[in-house]
Amino acid sequence: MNKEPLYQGEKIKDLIPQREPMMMIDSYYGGNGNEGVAGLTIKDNNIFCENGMLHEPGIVEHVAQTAAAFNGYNNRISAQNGGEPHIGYIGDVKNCIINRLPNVGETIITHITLITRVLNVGLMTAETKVNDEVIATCQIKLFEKTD
Amino acid sequence: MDKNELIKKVNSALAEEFEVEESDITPEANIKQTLSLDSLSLVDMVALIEENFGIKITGQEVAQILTFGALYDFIETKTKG
Repeated sequence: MNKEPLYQGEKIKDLIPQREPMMMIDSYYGGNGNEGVAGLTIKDNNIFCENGMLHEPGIVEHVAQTAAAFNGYNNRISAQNGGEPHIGYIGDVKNCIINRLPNVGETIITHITLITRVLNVGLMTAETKVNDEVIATCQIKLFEKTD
Repeated sequence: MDKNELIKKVNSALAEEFEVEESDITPEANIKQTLSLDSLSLVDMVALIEENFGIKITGQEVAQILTFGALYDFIETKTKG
């Protein structure tokens, strides 16, 4: 993982198709061919925030968008399909463990590892941290719409 | 690992993961029908085989593997290679 984001702010839109208020990553740090890392600093106007915390749907959406950004980044560097981000659909989320909800003002960083890919379906594991504290883990399957 | 051990390992892993009877898994049986696979759950089968046998299966390869017999042969070839 790079220390500085490769993509952040408006440039994130080059990697994922989501737009405000559904954008749940604000930085992408790259990774190798099988790994990707993205972050989100939680703001109080986040639509998944309540009582000063980002709730479960927001964490899962953040993980899914990290996976989407991983796909988008790899498409860009390989210049596949014109490098444009694809719409992705969550196939399923398994073995999801959320240890605690992150607070407004905290930055969550999610590390995605690709287990395998069959055609346009990717199976990945995800680990979400605040600093060194693991706050969530899961396995996610992402279907990437390519046409 | 000989072929019989390979078959036993494949059948046991698939039966447990996809909750089917091992007796339903025969060399001639269609994989997708027997395991009730769709395009999303197909990736689970691939991940299971890759993890158990330390091999990689491409999308093109998996598209050509229709029966369990073909799967056994594919794994045998890959693990020997």
